[in-house]
Amino acid sequence: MSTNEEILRVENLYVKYRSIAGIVHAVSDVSFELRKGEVLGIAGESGCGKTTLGYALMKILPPNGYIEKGKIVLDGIDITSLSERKMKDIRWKKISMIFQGAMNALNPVLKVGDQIAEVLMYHQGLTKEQAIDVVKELFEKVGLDPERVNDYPHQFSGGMKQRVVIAMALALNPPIVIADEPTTALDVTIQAQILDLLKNLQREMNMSFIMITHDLAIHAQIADRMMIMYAGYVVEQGDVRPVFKRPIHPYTKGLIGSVPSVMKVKEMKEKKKRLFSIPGAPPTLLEPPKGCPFADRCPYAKEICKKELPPLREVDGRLVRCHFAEELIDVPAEELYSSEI
Amino acid sequence: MAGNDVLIRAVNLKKWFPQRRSLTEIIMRKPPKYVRAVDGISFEIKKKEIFGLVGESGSGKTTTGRLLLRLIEPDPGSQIFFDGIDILSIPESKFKPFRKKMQIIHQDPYGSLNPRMKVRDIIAEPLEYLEPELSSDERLERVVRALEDVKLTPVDMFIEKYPHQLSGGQRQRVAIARALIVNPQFIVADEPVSMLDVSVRAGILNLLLDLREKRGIAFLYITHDLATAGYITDRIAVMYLGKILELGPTEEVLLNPIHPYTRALIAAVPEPDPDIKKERPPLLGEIPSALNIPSGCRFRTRCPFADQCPLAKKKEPELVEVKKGHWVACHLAEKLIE
Repeated sequence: MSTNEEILRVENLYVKYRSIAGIVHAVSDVSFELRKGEVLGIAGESGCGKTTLGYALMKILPPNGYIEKGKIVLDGIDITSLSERKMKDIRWKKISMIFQGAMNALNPVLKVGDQIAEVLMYHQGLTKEQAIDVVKELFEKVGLDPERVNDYPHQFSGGMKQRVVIAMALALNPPIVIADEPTTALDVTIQAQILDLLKNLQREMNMSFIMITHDLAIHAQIADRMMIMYAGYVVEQGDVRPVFKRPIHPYTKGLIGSVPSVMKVKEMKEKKKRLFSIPGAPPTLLEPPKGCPFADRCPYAKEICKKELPPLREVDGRLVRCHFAEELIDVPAEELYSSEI
Repeated sequence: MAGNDVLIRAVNLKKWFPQRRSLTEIIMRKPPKYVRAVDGISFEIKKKEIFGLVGESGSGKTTTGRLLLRLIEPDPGSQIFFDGIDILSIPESKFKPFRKKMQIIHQDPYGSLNPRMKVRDIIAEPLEYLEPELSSDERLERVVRALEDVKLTPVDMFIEKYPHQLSGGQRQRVAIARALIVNPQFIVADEPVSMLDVSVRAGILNLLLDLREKRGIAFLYITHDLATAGYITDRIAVMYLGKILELGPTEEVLLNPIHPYTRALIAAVPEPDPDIKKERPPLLGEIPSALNIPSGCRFRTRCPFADQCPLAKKKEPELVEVKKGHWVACHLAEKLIE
């Protein structure tokens, strides 16, 4: 059950990367809170900063990445300034992550059980035998045969490897788990199994989940609240239902109108409706535009949009980063986008 | 069965890939094992039709697409008719005119374009082989027209670029332009949008719909994604381990599925609507290896009705027409309709 108890708060976070070409502004002015027992979805297209945000929360940015400013408050402590030594006590224990493609990053020459046991031995000082017992319990929790702790990764299918990775993320019972595209490479029937598993575990253990995926349908199915990111910024944030049913930001409107649905096949075909597409491509993050990052592609953009970055502000019970949010509340996506190719 | 509106007819299409044997297996004279990638399937694609082939990885859908184009040679006994002509009986040396009529778009717009070639040369490349008689002016004219067809305009902005200077959606448009330049009647589109971002996917799908409408091109749309298939296809075939389990008009198959596998597949697709939460019938396990296809009904190891099906282990169900145009390969099909 989701309560109002806040367990993580991010304030005005900026994350950048140094690169040969210059500074990449990967995450800009991101603020949100995560409540106990809720699933927060982070949506957006490739390059919008959603994975970088996950790395920043875990403080595992690559060497050329850094948190420029802002706060990440976990259990009352701002971890942005925490030393790596202290962070080691927090990472995996208080906040853990299921990485994108991690199922293909398991060490091929180590038994899967041993790979998880390592974490337990390091953090909880268990002996090997004790650790393996815990791993067996974890295996059961994620729907794997406990006897298979002695198998090697190549003996597992993709879906099973993903279960191993989930078991690893849950090993230390963290209250917060970040899942980055946890089902992207899986077949749809396996994807459904893994999503069911994640949802059940989250409920049973009353964890808070940050679900990062580009797949809006997954958010619709499992998130309580969601935020839509674009070019490093949060452009809309709120409860899932209103965001899907009455999106305000022009980007959100376009994005939701571009997703096909199996159940609406008949309606689309009968009315000869077309999906929308958003013309153009996201701006380069090397020199982000001065104004609204979406202005270039926005069908509603006015003079001010190119000059001034709109703040993220409360409109109609949620947060929207758009100068014309109020005007746009009742504008249907059809009026903004065509089904032009 | 075959009318004048049929463009492609595949009959008993089959491709078994032999597994490599180890030295001991060769010495012991063990027979080779086969991956039964496509295991005897028959279907038709009509003129101007977008026909969907959906299935999970390893179902044989990509191999089927390549077989239709003869990019892989089908096993003996298979037949493919293109506009009534049995194309497998045509020797490779005389096949060139057909290559112009059938083209392919690949999944990966990053890997399928040569990074050292400019857009104009990438798009013109098929002409070098298929229409070498063209002058360079004629060739350029065709490139320009192909770019306009895929809406990469103004053409001057794109024609001299290299693939790395384009976005994923633009690259896929280049790949489509390359397929279009020889004026094909049929295009195999193998997961053409699965690597693209959501907001540009719709643009590519709409482009395919337009090409069908305006130029009458028929498509085989291969995908694992039922939602995009539902959006652009007229009819759909569902493949599992090299066989078609269900085939019919898209709306019929997606909204009134009969085969337990199709039902499970559709139930597994998340809907982009928080008000539609699906009750999922459990589909346990994963797709078995195509090296070791279960006897009888190949879906029985995952079928929730297997214990109510006395024939499951004994007999492979045939694809039969249970409603008009709606074909199902399941012993329990009649029961499941109700």
